[in-house]
Amino acid sequence: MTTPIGICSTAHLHSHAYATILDSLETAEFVGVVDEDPERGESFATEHDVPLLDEAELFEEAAGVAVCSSNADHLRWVRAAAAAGVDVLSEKPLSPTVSDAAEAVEVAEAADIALGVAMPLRFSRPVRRAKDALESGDLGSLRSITGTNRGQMPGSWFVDPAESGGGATMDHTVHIVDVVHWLTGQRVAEVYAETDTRFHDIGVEDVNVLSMCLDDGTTFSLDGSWSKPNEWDTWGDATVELVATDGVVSVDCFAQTFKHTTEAGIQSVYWGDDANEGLIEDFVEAVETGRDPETTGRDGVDAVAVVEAAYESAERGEPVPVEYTL
Amino acid sequence: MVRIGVVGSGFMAETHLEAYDGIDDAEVVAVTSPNTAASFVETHVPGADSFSSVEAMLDDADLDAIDICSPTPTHRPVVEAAAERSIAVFCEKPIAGSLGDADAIAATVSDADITFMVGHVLRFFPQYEAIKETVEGGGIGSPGVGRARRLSPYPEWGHGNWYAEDSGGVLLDLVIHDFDFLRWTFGEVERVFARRTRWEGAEHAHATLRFENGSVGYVEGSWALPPDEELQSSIELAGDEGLIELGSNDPALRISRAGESTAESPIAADGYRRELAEFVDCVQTGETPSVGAAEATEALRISLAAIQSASRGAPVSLSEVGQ
Repeated sequence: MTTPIGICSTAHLHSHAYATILDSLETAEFVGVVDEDPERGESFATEHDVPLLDEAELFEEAAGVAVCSSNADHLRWVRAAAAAGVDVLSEKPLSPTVSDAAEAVEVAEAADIALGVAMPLRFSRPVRRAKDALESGDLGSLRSITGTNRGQMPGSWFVDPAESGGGATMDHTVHIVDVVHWLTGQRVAEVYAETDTRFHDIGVEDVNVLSMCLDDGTTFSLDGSWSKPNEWDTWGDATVELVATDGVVSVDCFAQTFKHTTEAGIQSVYWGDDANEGLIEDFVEAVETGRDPETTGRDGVDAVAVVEAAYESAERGEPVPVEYTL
Repeated sequence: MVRIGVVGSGFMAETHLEAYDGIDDAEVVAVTSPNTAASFVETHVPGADSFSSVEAMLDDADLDAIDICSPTPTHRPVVEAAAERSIAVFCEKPIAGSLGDADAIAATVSDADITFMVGHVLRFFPQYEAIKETVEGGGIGSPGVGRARRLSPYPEWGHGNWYAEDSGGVLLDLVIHDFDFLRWTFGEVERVFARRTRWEGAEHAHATLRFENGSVGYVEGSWALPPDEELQSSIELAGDEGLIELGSNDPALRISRAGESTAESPIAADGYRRELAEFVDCVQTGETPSVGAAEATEALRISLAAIQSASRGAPVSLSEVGQ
């Protein structure tokens, strides 16, 4: 008895990763893809050997969908899925604005569908071990957190503000913010941001350096810049270091690599467990059992609230409190 | 031969003594410290004279130069005493704990026309110097984001726990090294926003910098690692044409035996030896050292801006500091 899952839009590269995972899961059946770009959709369908469907057909077939459109389109797909009673796992950020993200949650709740957000680091094995360590109690109390989520500039719709809602701040803030919210049970209370465009000839920011604090005063810094050169040995990083009164926990989500050198250069190839697998498995089970996914739409709204505060801080040149609406 | 008197008998004095060992033209002939100079000399530089007052050492030890390795609040009065006697001065960082004292020191050493150098040693670490050269040569293109981290356990070694009271904390005593280095490689700083957290026996701070050229930096300093942990430091400089990353390398030499293993990064001359060699050379030739009062004061200004920002919870422009 497998759960039928579909993919809505393949604008986001992760659609390929999710397709591969869905194919490998015994609990899921990958039933098809719909894409607002017919040529891209056709090529994706062929590559993954699934039907290219229209919207109505896909929502007929699938009990749950992964929405992999540009950020600006997430809400529109959530609305369509909700109207059809189909559960949604949305790529991150849930939406470029708190207001749209909150609307996605409201729409989902009104239609009684599950809404999850693809922030997979909660499924990273080193992150989960860190949570165990923090909860063991023998590290004392948490005082300071340092996070990094640097990456290469992704180009394409990511640098079109109409599609993405912004650059590095929109793209590389929510993963670590959500992980910190999850690890600590606290939320970011205030953000001071320094952003700029320094690395690439693009119309959005690629520098994203945030100085934050949580509700309880724990300081939290995050560098989510698109500062890695295209020639770097991998796509980027995701690290979080937590300094507590009786110990320090350092997590490097993608440390498990081997080095592979060819005439194209040197690459670090990750061999650790795939957090996306945990994400998709969890979503499939949520669809099957009627429970919430691990990372809910509300968690997604909270993360976007921090992003909004970051943009405001960057503009005003001062620290800005985060407003949580839900 | 440059005759040197060391002021202080703590960790820095010991470090400097080791460095002077490899500098042929330098000889440490005296050490002064309120209570522990004699035992320090016996252990580390037998044959040198010990004193319990700076003035006595300056008057009696026939010195060409002094090396100030004593706590920050002592820097200004000791510089003044040496300048009065036309004795050259090497002074550990920070130059002082306030801009007022730093400015006074600058005026004093200028008026007395003595050789004066401040120990911003990171510039003299071979790896940091090589990084600076790489950046100067266009190796990263136009700067984008600079990141520096310096983490250690709480410095329990300070006499009378002076680190707690008089050091200015991690933002002044510890990461001034990184503020200085980032300024040296990325340019003048326009503003700082810092956060600091302190608890019993520990401190952890984070400062965000905006440089005048538009680039951004962030520096993390910690005296919160568990005791017995080694000092960790790292630096990353990212620009539009390249990226430099320096963390801890695997040791160049590791020797393991049952129950014991050692790791080393052997080098002919480390940062301390190289900076003190420059100082000794300048004392002999009359040339101006590369790190004097002006450079040291700019590094201090960044630290003070960070401390002010952390207190105020607001960004502080460098131009506002000290007003």
